[in-house]
Amino acid sequence: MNWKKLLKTAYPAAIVVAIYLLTILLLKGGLLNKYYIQVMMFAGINIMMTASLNLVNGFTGQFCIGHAGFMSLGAYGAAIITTMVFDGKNIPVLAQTPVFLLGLLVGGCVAAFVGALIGLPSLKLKGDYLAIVTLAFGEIVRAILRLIKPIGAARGMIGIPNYSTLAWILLFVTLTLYLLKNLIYSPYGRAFIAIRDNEIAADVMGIDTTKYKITAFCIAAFIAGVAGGLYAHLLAFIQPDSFSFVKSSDFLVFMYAGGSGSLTGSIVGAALLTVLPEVLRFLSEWRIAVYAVVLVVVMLYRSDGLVGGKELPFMRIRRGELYEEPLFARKGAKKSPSAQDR
Amino acid sequence: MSTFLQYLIYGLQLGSVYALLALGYTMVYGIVGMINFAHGDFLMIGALGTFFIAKLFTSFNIDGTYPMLIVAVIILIAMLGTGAIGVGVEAIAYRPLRNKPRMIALITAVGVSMFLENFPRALPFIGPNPRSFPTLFKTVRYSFLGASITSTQIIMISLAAVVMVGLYLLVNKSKIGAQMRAVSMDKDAAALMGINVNRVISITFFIGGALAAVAGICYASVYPQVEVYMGSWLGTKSFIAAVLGGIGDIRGAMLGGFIMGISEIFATAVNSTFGYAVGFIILIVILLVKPAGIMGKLTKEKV
Amino acid sequence: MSILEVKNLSIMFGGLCAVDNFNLSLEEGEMVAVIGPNGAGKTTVFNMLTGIYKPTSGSISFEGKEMVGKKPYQFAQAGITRTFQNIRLFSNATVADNVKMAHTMHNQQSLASCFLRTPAMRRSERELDEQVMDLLGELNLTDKADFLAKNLPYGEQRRLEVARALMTNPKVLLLDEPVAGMITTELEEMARLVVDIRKRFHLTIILIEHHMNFVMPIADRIKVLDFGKTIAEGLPQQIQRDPRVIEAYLGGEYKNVDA
Repeated sequence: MNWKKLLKTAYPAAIVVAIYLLTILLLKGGLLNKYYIQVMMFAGINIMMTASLNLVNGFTGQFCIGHAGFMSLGAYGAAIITTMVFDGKNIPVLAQTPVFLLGLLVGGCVAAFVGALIGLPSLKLKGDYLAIVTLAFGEIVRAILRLIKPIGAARGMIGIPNYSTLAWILLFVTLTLYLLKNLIYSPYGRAFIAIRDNEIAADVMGIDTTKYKITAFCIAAFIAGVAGGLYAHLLAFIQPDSFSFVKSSDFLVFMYAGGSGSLTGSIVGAALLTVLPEVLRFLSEWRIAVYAVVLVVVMLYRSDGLVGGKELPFMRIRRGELYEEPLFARKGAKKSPSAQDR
Repeated sequence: MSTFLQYLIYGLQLGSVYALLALGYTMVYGIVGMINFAHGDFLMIGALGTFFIAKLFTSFNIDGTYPMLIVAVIILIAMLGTGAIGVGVEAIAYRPLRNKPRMIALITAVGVSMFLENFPRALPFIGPNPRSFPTLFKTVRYSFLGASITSTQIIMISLAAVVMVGLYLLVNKSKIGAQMRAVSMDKDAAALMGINVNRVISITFFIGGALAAVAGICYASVYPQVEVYMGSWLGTKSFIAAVLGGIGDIRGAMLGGFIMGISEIFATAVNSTFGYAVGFIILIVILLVKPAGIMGKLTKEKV
Repeated sequence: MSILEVKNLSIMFGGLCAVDNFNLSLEEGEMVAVIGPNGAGKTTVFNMLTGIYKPTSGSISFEGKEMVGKKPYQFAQAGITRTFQNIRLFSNATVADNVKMAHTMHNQQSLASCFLRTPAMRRSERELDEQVMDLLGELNLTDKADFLAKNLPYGEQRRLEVARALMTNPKVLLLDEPVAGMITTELEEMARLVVDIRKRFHLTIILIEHHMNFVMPIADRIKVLDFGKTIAEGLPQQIQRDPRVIEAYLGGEYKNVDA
């Protein structure tokens, strides 16, 4: 067992656990109240949304601006499972977790499926045109949801059980970031980045650009769908109008303010800008105007994003790591050549 | 027939608003390649501004409306003021980002829009409550082939038309218009030819702002509730109109605006949700059929 | 046995005929150069031969298969690849990653194994890295492996483009002005490199270039284009003396001057 390697790989997870325990401690000790926890949970959901948007816009270089549409599909999908297929607030305790997870899964799948449907024709469009189509998609989903009576139409869906806890959200955020990090540093991730940096060259070098664009799009849609499900079970109430272009633009702002093409940037951008409006609450009616000024200032002076497009160590995989000792060294296994030999 | 004509009149009215606003989008896009998300808010500033400017002239108010000369002055002040704000926004928020990727400027535009909407909202003398737009003209109702048309509508549509023709002449027949077209084709080459690019861009934003003010006045004359959020939804639809006509093309923006306005009125008459969605439906159709827009030309990337 | 049969390839842009009946019968292992003044249509021919443009008429038969209408990545998968006149590297990626990206079409790892970074996936990544480093070694780019492509000097960027193209395991390699903007020493290096990789990787090469002292020594035969039409074809020495070629490049007054 390679203890040094274990420490290096596991420390991010340890930090997440520590954050959780610290938060619970502060909560029990009366220093934090439920409101702060809720802000943290929203930050977590926003991190998931921003990171998944970053996969498509930041890493694959596309212009998708209707991400809230996928969130709404996931939110409604999950809510339908927990309140309409199963018995909502009356689900027995033992069944709650499986039903919740099923709901999230269904929400994610619905979002991904619609993503594929939209992606196939649209991802052939370039730049601004793709942006417009994705904007329209978000609004059309909203318009359709407003018309469907059984799920509450424009008034929305109430009575969604409160299954989203801090633990669940931290778990999903960590999982999302871990999986996305692995994806970026894999043949798929490299294909996405190639498409972003020079699509024609990528095509000529054998990359089926449409296939990879749709793959990125569907993965992002799935994650957004799951985040939507978590959102629905946090608020206990959802309505179509909360998923308008305004919400999509929130995620775009988080993404670019944090740094396009950087997962760390998504974490920082989403977390900071979710917390900022709450911190500014003391300004009452000046709150949004001040937030707007902060945003413009950040974009003017840190145009590459708050983290400058770079990644913190735990969000990146260096080439040299391929040659390091694995976690579990098999008895008698050959030692792979070290990074220095190359 | 008369209902058709009636709807057509309303469509032209709404269409003028969209067209004026779409022109601003298209000119800015043509010149600096960015979509100014805050453009719809210029409409709001124009409308709200007119409300307050009109207050200054209350002494001239005779039985509910103002004499034509005063109205012209009010509109002019509103246009100049909104244009100036446009120039200011460009100088502060967009100019420093000119060489950065376009999305950065877009996000900044989102921030600017947020600010333009919420800063006035926080100011005590404006606040979130809607205000009633002053009646600027004496309303006389005329009957035409069975449909009714008011003098206000006639003035509004004519004003919009005059402004649009003026703009078209400016861009195509004047020296500054030639400069604008040069900058929109190649900024650096234009600078090398001795054109003051910053000045041209500022002028473009000024014109865009002024047009938005006129749009705001036209809109508010028909729907007199003005409040800080009135511009954003209109802005989105005008943006679609600009894309429909071919973003970057002036005639396209005018055409797109009228098509959007007329379709929306007729679609709403059928069903209100259809009216809401018709803009997006048109958009999707044009993107599938001719993505460059009705008047647009797709530029191919040179390999 | 001809590996690539191009018959009557033509393309019109609106009313302009950019390439007019281009024909080529490429034998395996050959090195053919396509020369001609700027705007003659040489890069356009390359664009058609890699699927970037669809010809208005004509056929491209590669190893017996008709290629017209296929997408560029399908051309690459069949075995035709190229470098670009205006370098098209993945600028924000490292040198090593640039080459790895060209390996995508040979990727065997599933999406799931990439998400989970399984031991099998990691082993495959390591093998790929070793393969890439070997290739970079052949092209003298090993110590720049972790540099960002955009930070490389010009000559090394061109070499990287070649390395990247080689990673796709091509049978036919199209080089578009590989020595544009280079001085004599760099030219000689590149010429040696091209001859070397042709032998080592069993390539058939088509070359576009303006530098005659680069083309003449290494090409097996030469085709000359002017205004989209093929005006001459033959061995290097023949082409050098062909009056039509001289006229196209230098103008009519030089036709009778001894080359």
